[in-house]
Amino acid sequence: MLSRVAERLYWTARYLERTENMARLINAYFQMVLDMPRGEEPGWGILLDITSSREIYLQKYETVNETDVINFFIVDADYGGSIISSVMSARENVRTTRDIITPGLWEELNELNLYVHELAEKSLARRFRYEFLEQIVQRCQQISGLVENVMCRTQAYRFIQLGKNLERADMTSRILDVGATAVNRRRAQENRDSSQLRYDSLLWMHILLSLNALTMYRQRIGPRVSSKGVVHFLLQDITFPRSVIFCVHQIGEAFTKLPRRGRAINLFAEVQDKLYHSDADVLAENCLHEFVDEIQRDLIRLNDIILSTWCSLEQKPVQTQSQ
Amino acid sequence: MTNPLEDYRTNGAWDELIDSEGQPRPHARHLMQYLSSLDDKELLSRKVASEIAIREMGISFTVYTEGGNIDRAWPFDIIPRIIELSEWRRVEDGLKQRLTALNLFINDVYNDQEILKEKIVPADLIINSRNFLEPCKGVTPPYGVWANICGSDLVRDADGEVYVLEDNLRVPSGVSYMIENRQVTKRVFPELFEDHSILPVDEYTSQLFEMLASLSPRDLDYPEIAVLTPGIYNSAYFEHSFLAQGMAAELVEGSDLFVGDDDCVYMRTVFGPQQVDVIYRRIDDIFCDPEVFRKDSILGVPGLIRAWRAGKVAIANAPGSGVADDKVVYAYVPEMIRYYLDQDPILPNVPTWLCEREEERAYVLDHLDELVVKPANESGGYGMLVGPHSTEEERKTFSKLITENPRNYIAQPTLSLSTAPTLTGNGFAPRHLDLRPFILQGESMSVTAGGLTRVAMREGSLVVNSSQGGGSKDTWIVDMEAF
Repeated sequence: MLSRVAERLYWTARYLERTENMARLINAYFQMVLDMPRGEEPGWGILLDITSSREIYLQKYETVNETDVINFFIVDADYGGSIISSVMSARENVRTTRDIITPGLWEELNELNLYVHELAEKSLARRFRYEFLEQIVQRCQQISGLVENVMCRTQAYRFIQLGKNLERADMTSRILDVGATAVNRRRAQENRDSSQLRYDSLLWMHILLSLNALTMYRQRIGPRVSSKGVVHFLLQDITFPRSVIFCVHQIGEAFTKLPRRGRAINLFAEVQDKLYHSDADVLAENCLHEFVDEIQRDLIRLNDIILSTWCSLEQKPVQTQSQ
Repeated sequence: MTNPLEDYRTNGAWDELIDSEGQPRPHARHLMQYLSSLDDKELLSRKVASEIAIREMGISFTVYTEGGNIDRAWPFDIIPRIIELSEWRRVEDGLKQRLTALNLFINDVYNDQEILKEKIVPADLIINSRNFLEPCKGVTPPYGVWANICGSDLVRDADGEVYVLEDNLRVPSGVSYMIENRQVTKRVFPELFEDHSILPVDEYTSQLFEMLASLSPRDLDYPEIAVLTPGIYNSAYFEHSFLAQGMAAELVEGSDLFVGDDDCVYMRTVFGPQQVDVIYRRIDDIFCDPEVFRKDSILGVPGLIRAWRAGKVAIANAPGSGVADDKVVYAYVPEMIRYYLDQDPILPNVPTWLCEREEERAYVLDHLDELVVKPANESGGYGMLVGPHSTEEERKTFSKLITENPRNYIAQPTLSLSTAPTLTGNGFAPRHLDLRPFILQGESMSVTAGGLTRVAMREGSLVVNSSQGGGSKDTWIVDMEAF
């Protein structure tokens, strides 16, 4: 397989996963705003923090408000992480690898692109937003389903697996981090009575919802939604497909099936050990933010090693003596 | 664009959202302003959206018919019913006070029977009640609480006063619809939430879990909790699975459980028998153990009462709680509150005539055309006579029934039941409604933020039960201070 093709498949999977995550994230936050009594919700800026896009946003928009933030995340083509940009990037990458993937997949992705272009503007109104975002999630899952059910488990599949899981781990850790920041900020506020504190568990509940994780959390951890439980579940639960450790395992598994994997495997083992051996209780109380930062750096290192090992166009041909 | 609210006229009853001058009440002002900005077409499209959401979410209830059971989509009116927070706080206190007294009463009649000895409540009324279960005598469940989950029906009369119509202490249902109704409104009217500070309702399942966990005989972080359902043909099966999912509890039928030689209750699982600590019972108590109660019950678990009496398992609501869920006993609740708590009732009862008492029976028989007559022991709105809407023949039948079995009947004045604007085929019209909040009592107490509003969809009708064509509305407790 050509390195160029491998890289495109990798990015296709990342952009698709980003589209789905973004849609779910916006919808979950939106639902939370509807649920929380006024003044208890953390503010739309939290979405900018999760995606580290506050700076880019403020270059174009003056204030952080619902209309502009939603516009930025759904239809702003200038922002590379918006739904419309992610879908276009995914499509562009697939367009140039059509020889590798099945026609059905290409069609689905085309339809997704058309759907987004047709309805994104309309979805800015609260009234139509839920359905639009829900559709995006469903269509992305349909494409994932196609990949799982029709693709041979060969190298092309591995690069899709890598892209999907890296992006997923990235989003899970970001959401976890900002959830923690928001709760800590709220906890630090004075004059809190018990009725306010109880909205903290509502906030954690919505964090789980944004990762489609609430029902599984209840099954695995129990019905009490606590910061410690959520931190443990989203970082370390080896059975939940969106936990950071699960995604890292998937990345490791893909590595073992690829050639020239030595350095990559070493890095994988290092990251995996770190996740295994951290104490979720301690993290939830003290240093979650620092830990997530570290995990984010590790994910970047994993991304770099994937690109440099298998996708680089600068592989040096075997040197020959020329005198 | 026509304003669909322009023609709205209250019908003489208290209207929850519109005052007698035809103006929106303060807590309904935003909602009304918003609704009048929508034309008929837009309203219809919201209604359709709600129906689609309900179908997609699979919110259903089962109706028994002669042709078999039908799973029907949940009937829902898109216009929320709003209550102001400060009023709600008082209602909440009243409900807690009431359930506290009722539980002291149940524990008393199964143990020392002080209230009967002191003749505050007539002993024969309790001892001869078919809801008084002998096998429950001498038991004191955790915290002395028998009815851990109570659904009380509240109504508002023409004077604006909120009355307690009945306390459902057996297996009250409807709470899942309260939660789902909010989900539907969030989908259909997301814009509305911008201008209101509304208390969330979805904390109920975790509160229910904590309450049930507090009853566990074993001191575990996560006791094993099972929701015991009669099965998929029960009209509330949707709710049983909804609550089990929300609490990550096992949804079991009688045949999934057995009682071991050690008097502990076990589930049959793929890992072998697994001990159950708390059973949230959604089958009638007389069906729950064929060893003790109905021998023909195939729904129950042989030995369950033995395990419960031995303290090896907690059952909520405790078997026998129904002794206080009786329309005759209801009439004594204000006395119970004074007797056990030495307090005045915060929420009034609806005036009630007991047909058992000769004088009151004579009055009832004389005034059948004005009163509502109810059997003491039925639920779901069955077997009632609504005097003003009755025929001569129906009144004759009831006259005979009452004379033959006076203990079994009570009568109450026909309350006008408050109304709220409801979307009908001809735009907005007032429809009568009630409210069923849910109160939990274990180690501590809590009340749902609002409850399930049930609405009689037919013009003039006072029957709100879903089994008889009633619908429901999302209920908002709105904090006016938050503006």
